[in-house]
Amino acid sequence: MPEVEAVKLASEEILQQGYSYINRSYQRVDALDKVTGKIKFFSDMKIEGMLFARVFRSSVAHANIVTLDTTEAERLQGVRAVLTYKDVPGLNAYGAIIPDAPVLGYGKVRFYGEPLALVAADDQETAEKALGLIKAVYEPLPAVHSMDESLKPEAPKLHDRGNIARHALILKGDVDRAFKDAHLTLERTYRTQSQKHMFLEPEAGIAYTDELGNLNILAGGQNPYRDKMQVARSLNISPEKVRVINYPAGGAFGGKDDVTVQIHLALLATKTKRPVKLVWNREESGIGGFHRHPSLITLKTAVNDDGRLLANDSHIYLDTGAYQSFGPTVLDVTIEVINGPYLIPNIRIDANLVYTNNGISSAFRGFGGPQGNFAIESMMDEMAEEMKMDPIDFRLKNLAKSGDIGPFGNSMRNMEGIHEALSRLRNSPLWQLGKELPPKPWIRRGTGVAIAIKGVGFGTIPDYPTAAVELLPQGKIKVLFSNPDYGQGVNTGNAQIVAEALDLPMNEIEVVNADTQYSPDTGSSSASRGTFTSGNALLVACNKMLDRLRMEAALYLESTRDGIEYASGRFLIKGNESKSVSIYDLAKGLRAKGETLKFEGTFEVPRYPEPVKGTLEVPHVVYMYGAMVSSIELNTLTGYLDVKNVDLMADIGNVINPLLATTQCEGGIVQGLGFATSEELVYNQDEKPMNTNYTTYIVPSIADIPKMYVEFIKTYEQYGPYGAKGMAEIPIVPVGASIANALKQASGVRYYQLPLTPGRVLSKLHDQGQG
Amino acid sequence: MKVSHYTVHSPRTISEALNILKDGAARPIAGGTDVMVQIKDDLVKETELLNLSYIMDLNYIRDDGDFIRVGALTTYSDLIRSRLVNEYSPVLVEAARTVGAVQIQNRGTLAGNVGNASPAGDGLPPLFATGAKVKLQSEASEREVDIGDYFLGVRKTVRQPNELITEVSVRKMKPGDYYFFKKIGLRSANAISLVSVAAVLVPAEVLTFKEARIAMGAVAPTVIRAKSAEAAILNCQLTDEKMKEVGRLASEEAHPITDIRATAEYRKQAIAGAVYEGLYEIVNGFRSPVNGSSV
Amino acid sequence: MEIEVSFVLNGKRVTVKAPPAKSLLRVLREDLDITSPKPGCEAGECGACTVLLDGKAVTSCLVMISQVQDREIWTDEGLVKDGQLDPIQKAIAEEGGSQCGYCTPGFVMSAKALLNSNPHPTEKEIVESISGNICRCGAYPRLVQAIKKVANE
Repeated sequence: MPEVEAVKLASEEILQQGYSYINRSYQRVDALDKVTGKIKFFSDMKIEGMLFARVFRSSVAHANIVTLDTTEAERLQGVRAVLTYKDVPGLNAYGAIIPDAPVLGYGKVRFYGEPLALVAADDQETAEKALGLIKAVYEPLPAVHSMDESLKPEAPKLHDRGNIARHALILKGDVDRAFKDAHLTLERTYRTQSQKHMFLEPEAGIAYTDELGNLNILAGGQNPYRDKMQVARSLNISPEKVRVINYPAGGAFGGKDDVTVQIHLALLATKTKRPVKLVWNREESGIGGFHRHPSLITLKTAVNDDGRLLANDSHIYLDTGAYQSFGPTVLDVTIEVINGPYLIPNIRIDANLVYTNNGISSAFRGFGGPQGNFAIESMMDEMAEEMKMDPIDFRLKNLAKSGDIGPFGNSMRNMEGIHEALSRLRNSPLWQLGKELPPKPWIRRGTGVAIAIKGVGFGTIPDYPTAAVELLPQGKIKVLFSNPDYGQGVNTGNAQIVAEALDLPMNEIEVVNADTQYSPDTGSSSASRGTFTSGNALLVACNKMLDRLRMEAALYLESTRDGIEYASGRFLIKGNESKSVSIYDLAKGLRAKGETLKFEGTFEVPRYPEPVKGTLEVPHVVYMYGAMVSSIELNTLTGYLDVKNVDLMADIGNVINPLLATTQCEGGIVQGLGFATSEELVYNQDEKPMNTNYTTYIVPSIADIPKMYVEFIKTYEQYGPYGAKGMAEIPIVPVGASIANALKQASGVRYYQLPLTPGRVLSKLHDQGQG
Repeated sequence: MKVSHYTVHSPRTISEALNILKDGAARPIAGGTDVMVQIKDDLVKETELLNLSYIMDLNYIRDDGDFIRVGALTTYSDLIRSRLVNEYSPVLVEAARTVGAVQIQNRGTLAGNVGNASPAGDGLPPLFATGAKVKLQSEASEREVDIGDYFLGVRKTVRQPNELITEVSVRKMKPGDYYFFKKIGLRSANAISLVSVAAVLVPAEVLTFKEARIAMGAVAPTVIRAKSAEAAILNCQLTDEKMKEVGRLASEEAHPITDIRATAEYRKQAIAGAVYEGLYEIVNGFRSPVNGSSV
Repeated sequence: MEIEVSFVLNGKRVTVKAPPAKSLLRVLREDLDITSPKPGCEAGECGACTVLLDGKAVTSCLVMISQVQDREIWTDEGLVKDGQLDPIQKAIAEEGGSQCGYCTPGFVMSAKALLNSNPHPTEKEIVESISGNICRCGAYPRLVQAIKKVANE
């Protein structure tokens, strides 16, 4: 059983009870720029002399490229560059984990919409016209439409190594023996779909070379330093020559975690020596952009006669599409959540990442969490029902407690929060609502529960986020870190953390976000790690700054380090408050001496030293938890599900900003609602995504959303900045299962496949004689 | 999108518009909510567009005996706000409220819905259920066509290229008439109909009906009437069993397609459900008749 | 071919030359540097390009520039008067109704249209007024809250 590596707690020295800036609902720091429309997204920007780029994409899903002829496009008046794979000077591949996706396709095409050529022209219409002049000739190969097809021995192979991109086997105890001894064993298969991010701002950016010869890439993204690395790798230039800015982005949710427009922009700006802008249109975003991994999960689960879980044998298949992108780590998350936060003595996990010709699956809020959660939490509900136990009682009975050893040999920490959350859900009025008679006979009501676990950050992968604070003598503190704020609010949370650490008002804090020229490498905004990583790193930086200033202040005040104290931006002599100096005055002195006023802090994220055999990063030290109850009304005539209420009790540690945390939870529930009921990317026979716009791909509107109630269980994460964990993903994880469980109660029919569209719901109701 | 190759005519009067249209080359545009999307997707064949938006004479709602006359520039928002329409064609108002969302209702017109001839046009079933006429004008002639004779197929109508829809006349409902409009979409707002159905029922005595018109959208190349379902309603007690049968009959008359939004089978089931729901609501007092308190 | 169109934008008369079938959205963004209306879909489905046209909320992607001669158009930028935010802008900021911010100007304008014509709307009317706007971050409850706040002031 591995031990947590000793970690020096950054926040230890300045932990205090009763905060001035933490636990407070400050308005988002960029709110005013956003509500007035003043903020310029990169798709809004113009640069003098810029060119307009478009991407030529394959119109087949699986084929050998026989010829790709760009000569006519090159000849078109106003076209400044047409690039193909031959024009990629460095590695012609990208991918956040393993670079296996071509920057520009060559040899073989593996999904409909694969980028094959780039055009830059004087205006958009010319760029568009040039696309029409590029001629690709293909030798078609049979396409692999689904995982079921891909796994057949005779299936066409997408890659030389075959159609399984990753396989993992994790064993604990002896499941087969457990099944023999079991009181009850259920075996069920669950499926979830491809969900699109559908951010309102499609993939977009602008690039130019500055007077120093550095390549500037301004593109909505989630990890400017990884973008920088991937750009430099493909252009075969030093990363020092690349600057990436990722803030602001009009939504991301994982879909901008890997590169989208960045390398293409870099190639075109370098080739043309002109600024270049590239904005995907809505359809292109649907075809060329990333999406959530569809899943196919079989669980064989056993309990004893007392309702205790004995064994869980899971076979997990995730459809990563044509390339891996974040697939390997998405699979890890499914592995990590497939046993829930339950104590199960015997476990087998057989997990597979499968190639198909279905676009590219990548990161999406929750990674593989919502998929695995739908399976295990549907199973828990069915098991409770079979055992004639209350679904909450059943879960409470099997839920791990603090100090228990978890499925991966990890010590379960801080389990009190989820126990409390689940217990309190029992009092939710929604349980009563299901019992009231609806006014119309075709309406049936139901209430369902689900709980969720999700790790914060990268698990066992070494993670050393660095952030900085800079003292500006004119009276401001600059806060610098790289995890982009694409709406979740990390800029505001971090401003509060720094305000708290330095005991300074919020209006003296200025955030510089996600710009590699200024912000140190704090890593990505993903895996709910933003606040946890940059918040902690900023606390280290604040401590360093105060340490340095304290020495300076002691000299200035003719006292000793211990003889002075700090409060609200001033050092003063203990017991003699008339003698004091402000940090900004000290800054002037330091600057005169030529000293840097920028202080960097690095935080070592606590982790287990090695991943569990078979995994890449399982387990985590810090997990967030959520318990959710949903109530629905089912129209048995039309199959339409009206989700009336969703209550979420979440354990996200100490809450930095309750308003922003609540809004983020509500947003996660709304995205989960889409995942549960309406969102599904559909391909035609040619593997072309058919529903790429907002009338065919159904994202919830205001008229679809339930009444939501969000409450945070009071907990404190000792490794977190001021006790905070992470939070972005936890609200989306349990939504699918809680709604499917409510639907079972309402209809008497259990659904094993998402989304629960009217057609799918009604068809099964009719099959089971419930329509 | 090749926006630069279009010519747009913007006349100020109907006669100027008809003159521009006389060689049949231009595509008339009222609100533009359909055409602008088609332009974006390069689906507009015509290179000449006839912008009607400055012809103030086309923007009106007039009371004319048994009919409400609606000008070609009158938007769905205008209909929703009109006292006259609320009073005499509440079924049209109910449908108008489901067209797109506010922004579309503020631009989209009833005439545009007719002209565009999509079987999923939400404004169309009420026109079939109440009885409406489409006025077509050209430089040389003027004619009125019954709504039932107007559509020939998906995006195909009897309108000649030199004719302009200048008005849609909606037959007034009578006090005491019952009605419903149901739209099944994939989202509660701003959705395209999977199916829609409008019905007008004329009572004989308490909750028996001597006349019934049920019109279904998105179940055939044009909006169609559910004639056998209508017949089954007449002069009988609408028991629960009867209402279900009417739904079934309507569904049998529907010949929808399978597309990415829904299967044909689902659309048929949904029509049966929607018709039953509407009837149930009438019979069980969830709905008031025309000139009742709901107006 | 280009035509000249003159209209009142945020209280000032402007004149632009543009292809006649070009959308108002693109003219605002490309020719007038008014970038608060966003091209979220350019098909009237997302509401991110909502502006006021003669006082009514419309998706500017579906309005042809040929249709706005002498009309009055307001965008989110125009609501700030002498550095003071409009009450609805202020309320959305305070209530947390803006997350990534990309859809926000569209919601501001839909809400503004509602409040102009109906200063004390019901919850149902509020929901209707913004049901043509998509917020993928899901800030919907906060947007309703913000509109209520202005309505109650």
